[in-house]
Amino acid sequence: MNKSALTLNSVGKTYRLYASGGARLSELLFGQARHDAFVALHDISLELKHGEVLGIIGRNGAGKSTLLKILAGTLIPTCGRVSVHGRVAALLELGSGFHPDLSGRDNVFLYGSVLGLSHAEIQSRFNEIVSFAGIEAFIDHPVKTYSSGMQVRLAFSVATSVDPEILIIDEALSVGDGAFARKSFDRIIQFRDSGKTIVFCSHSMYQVEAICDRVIWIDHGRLVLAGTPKEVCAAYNEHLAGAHDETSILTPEATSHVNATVSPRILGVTLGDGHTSGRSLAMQCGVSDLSVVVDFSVVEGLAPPCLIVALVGSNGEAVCSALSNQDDFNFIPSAESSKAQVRLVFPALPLLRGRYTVDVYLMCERGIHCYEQVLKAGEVVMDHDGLEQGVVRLPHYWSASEAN
Amino acid sequence: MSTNLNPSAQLKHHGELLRVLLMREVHARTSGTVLGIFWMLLQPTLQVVALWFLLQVVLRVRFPELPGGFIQYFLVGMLPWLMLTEVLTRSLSVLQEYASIYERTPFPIGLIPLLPLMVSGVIYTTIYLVISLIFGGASGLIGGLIFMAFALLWLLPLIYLLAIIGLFVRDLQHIVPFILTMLLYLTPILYTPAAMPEALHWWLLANPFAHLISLAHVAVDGGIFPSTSLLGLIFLWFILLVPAWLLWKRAEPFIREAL
Repeated sequence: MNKSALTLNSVGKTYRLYASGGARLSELLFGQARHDAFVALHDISLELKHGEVLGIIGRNGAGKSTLLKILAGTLIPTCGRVSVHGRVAALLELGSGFHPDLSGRDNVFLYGSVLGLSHAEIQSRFNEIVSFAGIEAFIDHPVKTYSSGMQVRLAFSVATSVDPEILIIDEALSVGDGAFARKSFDRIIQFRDSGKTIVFCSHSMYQVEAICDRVIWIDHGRLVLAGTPKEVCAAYNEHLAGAHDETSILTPEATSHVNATVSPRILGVTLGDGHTSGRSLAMQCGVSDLSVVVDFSVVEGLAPPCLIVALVGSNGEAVCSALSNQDDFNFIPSAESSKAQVRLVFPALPLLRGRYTVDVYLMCERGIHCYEQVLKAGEVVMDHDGLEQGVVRLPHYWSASEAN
Repeated sequence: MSTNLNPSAQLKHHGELLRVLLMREVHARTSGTVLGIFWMLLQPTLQVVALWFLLQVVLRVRFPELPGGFIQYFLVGMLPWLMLTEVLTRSLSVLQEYASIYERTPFPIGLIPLLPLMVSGVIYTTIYLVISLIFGGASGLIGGLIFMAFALLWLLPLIYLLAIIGLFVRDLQHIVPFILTMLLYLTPILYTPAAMPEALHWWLLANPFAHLISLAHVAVDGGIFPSTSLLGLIFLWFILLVPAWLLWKRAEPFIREAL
């Protein structure tokens, strides 16, 4: 745990943008600058010990992928020094690294060789790689005939079968179908538990908090904050909330099918207050119970999923959330049915005046991988008597004593 | 993280990668065909047969001064030329062709320009050795082998230069085939050096490919190759090696970004 797996000393990357290839060649030949510069990374320094799991967060274009590519050795930094100690396997934009004309079998050997394995080593792991990817029947067909999901599965399987000491993953955890996504999660968790070093980049704060030991937040190519997942994710969320568009409205299109095939799916979300039900409710603070009924499909062979329901204020910040796995709520779907229904109740909903939307997430049983999310699945318009300010009426009491 | 521009180091460290990539080359050329791998030998052979048909049968080109006849002269010069044009033309586009493999992986890019050289080298050397044996016997066979090894080594700086320049200036992919065709006409392959107009004899001295083809004739047919020509070719090799090495070293960090 005390040896460095990765060290970055003042690493920076500036992309050179040329008007034409000729300008690039001319600069290479004669040394006269003919490019515009785009600084993607400024002076990043960090050290990652063996066995640590580092999360990288930040907006699109912040420089996360550039940093991962430098760590993976596919980009050369413009300045600074990168030291990598151990075999690296990188999953950058899954499916890449394959030659479309080669068969899956040849690509396994090619990719394995790029990752530093000998022919004999790849041969000994070949069956396991193909079996994990689940493409036995197609392994001798050219990769160009594979679906994107099959390419993703094969790439993941090879990269994680070469026994890397350092695994670099860029947004790879929500790819593939539900069953494979779960398998890939399990493998990553195994890697983590066996003391491998992982660098993990994701937009999902939930996944980052669940997996990482340490997190760095990058913005405009600069390291904004480094620390524990809790503190960095909280600061990042706060930053995002500040930039949130308050005019966003409830739209039925706000559904994200993270994994479109062979995954549990959310079939419907209904809100109820004991008298009426629907997608939009008007309620009085502390009077009625809010029930959120989620209908979803289950997939045979997958463990029953976990549900997360979040109440979100008009500024985009979550007011509260409930996680079924954290509340030890377990249900066993009927063997005959492929559908299930779960009801969550917030008794005497104590929210103060305002508009609140309901986000629903259908997660794997560990609560890490998101099968599907429905943002703004419903809306609750709260009202209350009196002049209280804020978002929630917390249980409270007053007392008085004689002052001396 | 840069790649060592030393072919023997590349071969030693990346033998498995090269094996798979060479298989890919073979597969790409022969997939879906009935004759399979035989096409790799058959195709250049048919190319030579077509040219022979044009010159010998249709145009009835005759060079009575040639001891072995025109066909021997033609084959000994034409086969290395076909190899050379194939290698140089493919070098221009090889970095784009293999982009999907190295774009997002730490693939050693320095290996890629070697692929056309190795594949064409194996194919044409095989055919050339058969031709050399037929026309030159055992000494021709050894001479042919030495010549092909020299020619492949001589092409080394050129393939790295063309791979880089071809990636950045893609217009070259259109113009180089024309230049090579003109060079074929200006190199004594389809005719003897004596058939060249006297006013152009300076070109025979200035054209390194003419010296290379002369070397092929000496290697297979026998004779004495002027040492100045050999030294000239070696000198040119070193002259090209320096810019090739420098350009590759400078350009390699930007190859992925240039795609």
